[in-house]
Amino acid sequence: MSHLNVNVQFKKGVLELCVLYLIHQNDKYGYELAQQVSRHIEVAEGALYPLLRRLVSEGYCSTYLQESTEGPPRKYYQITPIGEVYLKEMITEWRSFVQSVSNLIGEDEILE
Amino acid sequence: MNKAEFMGLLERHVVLMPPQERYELLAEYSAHFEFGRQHGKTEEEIARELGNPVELAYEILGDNYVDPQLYTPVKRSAGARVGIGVGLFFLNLVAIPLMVALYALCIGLSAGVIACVGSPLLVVFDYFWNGYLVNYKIFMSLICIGIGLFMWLGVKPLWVSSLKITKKYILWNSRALHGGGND
Repeated sequence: MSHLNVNVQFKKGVLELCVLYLIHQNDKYGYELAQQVSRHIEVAEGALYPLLRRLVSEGYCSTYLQESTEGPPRKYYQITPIGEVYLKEMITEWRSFVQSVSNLIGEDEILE
Repeated sequence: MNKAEFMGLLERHVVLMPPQERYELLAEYSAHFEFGRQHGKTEEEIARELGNPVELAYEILGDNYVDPQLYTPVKRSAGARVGIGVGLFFLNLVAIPLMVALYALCIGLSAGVIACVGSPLLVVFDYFWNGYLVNYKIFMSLICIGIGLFMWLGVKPLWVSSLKITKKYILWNSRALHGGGND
């Protein structure tokens, strides 16, 4: 149980980085993001929407609607300049974090 | 779980969100179902991929999340109300005389306070009646004022709490009968 919880919390933190990165590549709508994220990470896709809402309210993303020939209009998410800065910071932090963890577990030869 | 069930459950659990935000968010989930269906998925598959609506609501609202069971008013059926009404009638048969007794106590003690504090008036009256003053009566009335003021310290809170209890009791009665509230 606790193992699972840690995993969920961990994923939630990483999810923000992944989502913002995907939006930085090009504007995306919710369903598209969910598809792309779940291709790499096993996650409750519904959790994306609260996250996107937070990204918007914190000014890292903006949204616009686009009508589509079939189905409901798509709400696209677009990264803002503040979002770009924040993303760069997060990526730097992530790299140094991964490096630290690799250094730490690299000292043990158990997995060789 | 199909789309209607998913959306219903989610909506019920995010009811505390500001209406505009709630509407936009629910529209996103609803659109997600539509896009999924276009990609050939069943509603059940999509709902499973989205995750548990209650957990999502918790994630959306964070610390502001409140279990809807705690604030959704309980609607009483007509039968239940008759039953509760009969119960309340017998309860009030006991409670109302008790409260009358409580108020009688308040009024009695208040009368005592007024008599004590007003005792100098009796001395003045006595003076006009008899045409002379008796010292010990003056001292007695001063002592009475002290006793009266001292009693008031106890009688005042007694009034306040009696009124509070009455108000709460009346509210509780109406809540029990009509449903709603927190119990």
